[in-house]
Amino acid sequence: MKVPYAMRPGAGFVLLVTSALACLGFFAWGLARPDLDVVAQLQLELRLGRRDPLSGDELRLLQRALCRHPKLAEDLLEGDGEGLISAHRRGLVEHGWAYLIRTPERSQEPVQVQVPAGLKKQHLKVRARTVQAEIEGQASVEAPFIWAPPSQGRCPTLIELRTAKKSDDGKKKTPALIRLGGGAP
Amino acid sequence: MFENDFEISSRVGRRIYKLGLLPGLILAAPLLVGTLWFAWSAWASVDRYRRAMGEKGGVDLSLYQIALYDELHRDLKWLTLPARPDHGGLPTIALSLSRDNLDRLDQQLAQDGESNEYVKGLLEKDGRVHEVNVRYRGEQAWQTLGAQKSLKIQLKRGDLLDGIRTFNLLNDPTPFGLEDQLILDLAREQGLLAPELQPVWVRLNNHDLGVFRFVPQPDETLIRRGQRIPGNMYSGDTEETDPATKVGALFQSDRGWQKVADKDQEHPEDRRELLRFLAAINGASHLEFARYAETELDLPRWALFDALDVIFAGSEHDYYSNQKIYADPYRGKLEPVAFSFRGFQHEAGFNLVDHPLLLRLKMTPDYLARRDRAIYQLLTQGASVPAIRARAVAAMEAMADELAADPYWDAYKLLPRATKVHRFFLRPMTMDRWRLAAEAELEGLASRSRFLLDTLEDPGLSLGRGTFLPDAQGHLGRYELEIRGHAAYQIERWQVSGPCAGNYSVHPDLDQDGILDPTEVAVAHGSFGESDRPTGRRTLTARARLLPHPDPSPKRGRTLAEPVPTRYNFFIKAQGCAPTGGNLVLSSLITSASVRLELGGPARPLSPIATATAGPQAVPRLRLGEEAPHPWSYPEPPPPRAITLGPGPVELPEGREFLASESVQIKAGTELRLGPGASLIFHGPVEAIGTSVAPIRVVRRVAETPFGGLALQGPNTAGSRLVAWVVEGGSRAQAAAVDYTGVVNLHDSADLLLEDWVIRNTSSAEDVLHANGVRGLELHELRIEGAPTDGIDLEFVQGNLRGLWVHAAGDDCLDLMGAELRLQDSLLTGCTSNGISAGEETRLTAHGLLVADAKAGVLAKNASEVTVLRSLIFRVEQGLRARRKAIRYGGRSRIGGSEVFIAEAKLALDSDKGSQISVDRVQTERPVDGDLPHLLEQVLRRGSWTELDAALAEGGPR
Repeated sequence: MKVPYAMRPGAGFVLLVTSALACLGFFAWGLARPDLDVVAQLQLELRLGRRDPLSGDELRLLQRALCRHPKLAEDLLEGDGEGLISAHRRGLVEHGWAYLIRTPERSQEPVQVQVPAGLKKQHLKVRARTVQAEIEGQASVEAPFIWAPPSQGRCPTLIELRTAKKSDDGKKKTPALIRLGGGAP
Repeated sequence: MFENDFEISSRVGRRIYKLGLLPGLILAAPLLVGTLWFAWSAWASVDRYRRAMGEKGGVDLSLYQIALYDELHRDLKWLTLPARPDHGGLPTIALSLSRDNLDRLDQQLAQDGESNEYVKGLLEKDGRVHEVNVRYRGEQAWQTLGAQKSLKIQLKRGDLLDGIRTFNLLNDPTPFGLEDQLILDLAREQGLLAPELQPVWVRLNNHDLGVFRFVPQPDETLIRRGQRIPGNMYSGDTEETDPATKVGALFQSDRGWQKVADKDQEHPEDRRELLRFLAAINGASHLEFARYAETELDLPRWALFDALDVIFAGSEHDYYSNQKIYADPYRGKLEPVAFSFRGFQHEAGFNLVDHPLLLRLKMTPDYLARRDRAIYQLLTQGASVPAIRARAVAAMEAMADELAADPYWDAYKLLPRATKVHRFFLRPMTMDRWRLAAEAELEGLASRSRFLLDTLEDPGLSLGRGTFLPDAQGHLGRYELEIRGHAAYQIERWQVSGPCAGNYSVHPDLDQDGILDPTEVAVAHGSFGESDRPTGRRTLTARARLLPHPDPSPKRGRTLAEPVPTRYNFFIKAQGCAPTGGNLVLSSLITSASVRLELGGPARPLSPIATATAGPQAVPRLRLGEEAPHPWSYPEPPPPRAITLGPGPVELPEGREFLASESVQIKAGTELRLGPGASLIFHGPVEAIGTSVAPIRVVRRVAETPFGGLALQGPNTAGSRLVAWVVEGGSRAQAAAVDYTGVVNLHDSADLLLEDWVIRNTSSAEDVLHANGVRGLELHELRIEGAPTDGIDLEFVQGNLRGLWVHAAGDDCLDLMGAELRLQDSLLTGCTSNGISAGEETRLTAHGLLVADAKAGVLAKNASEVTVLRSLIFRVEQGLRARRKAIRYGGRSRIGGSEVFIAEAKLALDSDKGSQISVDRVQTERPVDGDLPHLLEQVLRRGSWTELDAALAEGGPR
């Protein structure tokens, strides 16, 4: 279909609009918060344990950053192949959530959530998720929760673990002991 | 009308819609140029950084976006940047550099990395303008690429800024930025020499540069502010690497050491103490080094300095640089200067760097226990996490408003370590980032604190026991104590029990050969059931072995000295029957916890006897696998011993040096006859009480040649009492490592009493009585007749002076530095210079004082405060003189007081602009009878003021 001359925009107008849109897009991209800036903040907040659990978007963002920047996992894990990147004390997590990362080499090993030995009557409800999979289960002193999440291929895997008393609908924070494949927190 | 308007706008709209290429280009150009400018600027900042860090390849897109994000947000922040608070708490330093000079600095930076050439400029602070030399400092990307470049500033010779000639204005790139300040404040409070870091606001050519750290260069001012006497200070910094060991070569020779403060300006080449220090590290046997460390190193301060490095995981004091040492001339000891820590992180292990001095110290018995005790005490007190948090909060509050107004506030380590450039890329700071960084640093410290306390509180102790077997004299059994990790113990008591009325003795197996030798004498004994405190071999510590460094480098070294399990064998010899029980009580040298080990029960397998390692006579080569000698292979320190001198003549042709373990009693009526130049040096307590009829006399052995002098040296002399002494014909005391300036010297001690003394006929001494670093000095009824220079010189002394009479001094009668004293009922006459010269922040109250025939009665200078009450100053050039003389000391000098007679003075009161004299009732006439009766009757011991001239002509009181 041929556009009549009267309807056709001038070349200058096209240039002006294209430039304006390109500049707008450029500035919008520039003003959008970079992933690594968010990751840097999350890294500290998780380590200090002074925040709520990650939202779905944050979880995906962190997983995406782990894939894009191979050295990021090394930095977060301080050179280890797997480990907790959120606040804990020798694997003991008291605020109801934990985040751990495993490099592809360790991706086959399961994650365990135990009830600390001092809480024999306690049963925990455990919810674990990665960006690809999610599972719910239970843990007690005798029977830990064990999960081997699917691998993220060549990327490190970010795993979220949330725990709560079985009767509390996941709202009350309860201590849990996290053990990784090698047994270390 | 509306139709007309519509027609016009429709026409304009159509024209725009139909715009040609050229006009469209012209209209779009500003937008495109602006956008391209931002795009280029962000690209250039990443590219510059990437190049400066030696990163190859192109610009990473994620980093480019971060740079653009920062660029845009920085510009937006500028629009909303708050003004600096009018009454900001930070001092302002304004610099002025000509355009040419600024360009020269930038050019040097571009060419050399670090510019070493100073340019001239002006600096203004508190309304005073100083001529300065300025250069950039640092060569890392974060120091050279930002707007806030760190500066090194040097004032002209003789000019000082707050007492400091050379200092740095540092742009700390760490997100928290207060690490060094907090650690150095703590170090100073713990008694270490440490510069005072403070944040300042810097302006350059009327342009705000924002908040910098003011960091004085360690020099003589640091020594004086640390209440030390000016002495030599050395700064170690080298780029040389030892080709054999592939580590920095700083400790191998004195080539990398500069003298940054000089005790004796006339002999700058004199570096004897440094050479002895390096020789001991590189060539002394274990035993020689242990003796050197005990006598010439200030071990408590070295241990404290090391403890701070461990607590904060510092790695800056390494094989190449950041080593600074001060040599105290009056204590004869070297101490560390705390400088540059960084840290606030947790890495497994205690020391991150064991440089050669630390390796040698850690291979010396008891050093590790001393250092670990310092760590434990700090972590449970001044360096506990809550204490450091409180300091951090206070420091942050003090500068928060001004940081918020800082246009160039930025930091690195604000991105994960995706690449090295990411990690060290400078990004703008915000309050939220600052607070989060502070929390992260404190959390890092908390983790480290937990790790260290867990390790130090580990008992690390086990007891093995063998079977008691009958021998010729009864029964003999072997016990084995093993010390592991950072544990260290002292044995408090042994108690052995048995089924009969027998007795026991405990013998250390000194050579650890598993055989009780005749030389291994009992250290504890008693009847069964009795406990006994051992008389020797009480300390049990783990010895060190040199292990591979987990992260070796030329800077951090290739070895770490770590404690290894160390066994101590004891034999229990019993008579009557074989022991069946008992206990051993030990106290931890680290935590002070008490531990009781049961001696009874079934025998446990004992370790095989270890093969002998190198003895203390061996010279270590500091190579991997080397092990320190067993602590018991060193001779035990001499046991406490009492020595009595006198009464009557005691011939001392060569003088004598008494050890710290020797307490000396000198009887009344003793005459100590010292040979030419000979001295008496006491390192332990002295009890020397003479009487007025039988004083203790110190005299020349050879009539025409003076002897040296006397000295009470070191903390073990605390509590000494010396009463009724006559010292006649001395010069100045002499010893190997310590400088003595007086006939009588009191150094580094406490609670000393000197009463009823006469010192006369002194030759060639700088002072007749010299005291340095003494707390609780009581100096009563001391008469000095003739002083070649100063009569009494007191530096950093706190105490009471009463009944002094100093007559005829070649300089000052009483010279004070950093002293805190009360002086009463004293006469200072015939002083060539000042009756009292109070300098360097002295605090003095004088009551019942007569100063006569001096240049100035009382001089207060260098921020000193003197109060004079009910006193007479007579026949002087100036009565009371106050001088600001602010060299190295800020603040004004003040003289205050009341009822002061200043008679026959050319000038009664003389104060300069920066000082103050404020005295109630200054009388410029001579006192008449009824005035100052106490001074007349009790001090001068006369009945009438008309006898004043006669009393002074006769030399003093009756």
